[in-house]
Amino acid sequence: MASKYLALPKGVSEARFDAAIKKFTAALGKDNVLTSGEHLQPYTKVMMAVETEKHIPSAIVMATTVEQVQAVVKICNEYKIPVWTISTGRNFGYGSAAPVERGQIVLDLRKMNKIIHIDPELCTALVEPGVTYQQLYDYIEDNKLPLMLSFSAPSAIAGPVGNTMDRGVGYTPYGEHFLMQCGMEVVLANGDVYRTGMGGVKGDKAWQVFKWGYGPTLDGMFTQSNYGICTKMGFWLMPKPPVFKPFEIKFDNEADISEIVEMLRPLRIAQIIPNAVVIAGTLWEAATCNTRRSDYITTPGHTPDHIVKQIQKDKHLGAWNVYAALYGSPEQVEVNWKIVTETIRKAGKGRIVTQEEAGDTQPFKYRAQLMSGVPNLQEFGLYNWRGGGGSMWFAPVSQARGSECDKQVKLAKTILNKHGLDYVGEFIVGWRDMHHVIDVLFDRSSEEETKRANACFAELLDEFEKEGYAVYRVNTAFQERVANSYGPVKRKLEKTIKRALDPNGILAPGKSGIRI
Amino acid sequence: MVSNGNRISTRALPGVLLAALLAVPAMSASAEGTAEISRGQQYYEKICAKCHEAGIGPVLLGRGLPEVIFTTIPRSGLRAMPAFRVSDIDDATLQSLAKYLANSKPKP
Repeated sequence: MASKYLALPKGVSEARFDAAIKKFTAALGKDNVLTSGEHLQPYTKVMMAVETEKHIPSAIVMATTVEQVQAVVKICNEYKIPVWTISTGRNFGYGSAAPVERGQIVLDLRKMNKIIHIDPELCTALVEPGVTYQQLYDYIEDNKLPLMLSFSAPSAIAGPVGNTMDRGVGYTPYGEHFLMQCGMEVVLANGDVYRTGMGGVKGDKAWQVFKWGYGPTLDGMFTQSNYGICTKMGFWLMPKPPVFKPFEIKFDNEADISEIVEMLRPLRIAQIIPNAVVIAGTLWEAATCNTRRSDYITTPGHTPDHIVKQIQKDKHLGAWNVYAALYGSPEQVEVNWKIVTETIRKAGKGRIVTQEEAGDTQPFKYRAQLMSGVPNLQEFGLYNWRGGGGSMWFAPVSQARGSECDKQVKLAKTILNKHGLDYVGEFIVGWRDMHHVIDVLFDRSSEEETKRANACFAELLDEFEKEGYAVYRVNTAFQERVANSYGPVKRKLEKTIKRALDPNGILAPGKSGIRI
Repeated sequence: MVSNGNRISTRALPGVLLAALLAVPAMSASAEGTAEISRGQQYYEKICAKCHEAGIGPVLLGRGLPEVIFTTIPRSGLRAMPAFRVSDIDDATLQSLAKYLANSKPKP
């Protein structure tokens, strides 16, 4: 007899699942427990190069309070139901809202969306998991608060808790989001509600201003992991500067990447340029100003270099396009602008484009918005490059060193092209590191191309690993694989912690390859 | 084996609706919208317009498309378009959005 559920948790009978659903319904109300195909459908929309069926949830439960989250965890323990938690579920290219394994239930916290507190003097925020950046932006604007957000590109629909818990990055001086996180509330597998930092002190007011508290500082342990469910997060907001000066530097040759990095690193480390600088390749730029591959070529396979060059010329793009900004008082910005322009002049290459010159054109406009905390979705243009809704981020980390970046670009491009796909990448410059972010774009409506993309991603991981590189984050289909890159000792420790904190292994088993 | 795996999406998305959405915008006049800004319109302007008026997703205003397109596709997502869950936009707001779009006029 066919099951009434789209999927069942591994090792759980339908009768047992029925009983669990009954308990979830009693705890949350029937509108907050979904099992029909119609209701589950949005949770199954993934962009990865694997079968959708592998990531279908068995049910969705929606909580709006910490007590409800505790109730869900209790029922999951009782019936041994694995639970995959999402906040806004917008981890596009990393798994979206779907669970790591077929049959896990999804705990959707999108409706738990209170902005609990924003302090415009201390420049701090405390929010629930379902709060989106757009919601925060509207709140800040409506209340005329002198604050600026930092966020990832899907800003209008993504949120700070999910992004920070997955150690995502943004484009302002506060772009390393986990660095700016301060205070976390976590529901543990045993139902305890744990607050990090100063959060456990009775009468404390410093939870959002002092990260470390006393004794071990455990915040990081809860990111990219399955040791708890974050129900509140504090973070720091940047004061809105009197002057914001975004600019672009275009470089004509692909081989310039090494020099660009060597030129920018001292400015970034010294905070002359304070934000997370981006160095975007031609096809990234082209896609985000609404260029489709099919505008130039309709044959399958990778896009030949001469076509990329033609696009670069037609769209007035660089082979590399640096986006950065200066922030501060007029005097500060003037001094730093002199240093930046002098550095470029001395290098003898690179054309500076200011906001005044760029006007309202894309992609400058959305880049400037990202660097100044204004939500938009322009970067979704990437998905139109090839079309078909396939996207997986391949994001190896490297030193901010020219030779390293050059080596990574060549290696990635060779592997992508071998599999008939394009190098669509950018570097996001941390203080001393590079997040080399490559969108492995493919037509997911083509079974053949989807297979190729899967093989390509696996080879990228393998070949980069041989050179001593690993990714900082990966989609749910490859999390087990990437866990191996980081060595057996780390895996053993993570398992030990998992067994101690979650003996039934109910919290997101498989997240980052961690299980009991 | 890897497949495109869109079994659920395609089941809920009749081909005729998809064809209608991707077709060239219809020029026929749409019904009069209401004077006040509905919740659906607010949602459109805040979220949907960021793609559908930025050259990323197809134009939706003034297409004369039926309401069912606008209540179906957001739930399933479509190719590059993300899916919108009931926790993102509840059924009543989605219905209001569909009504607004189905009766909208093209942007001047």
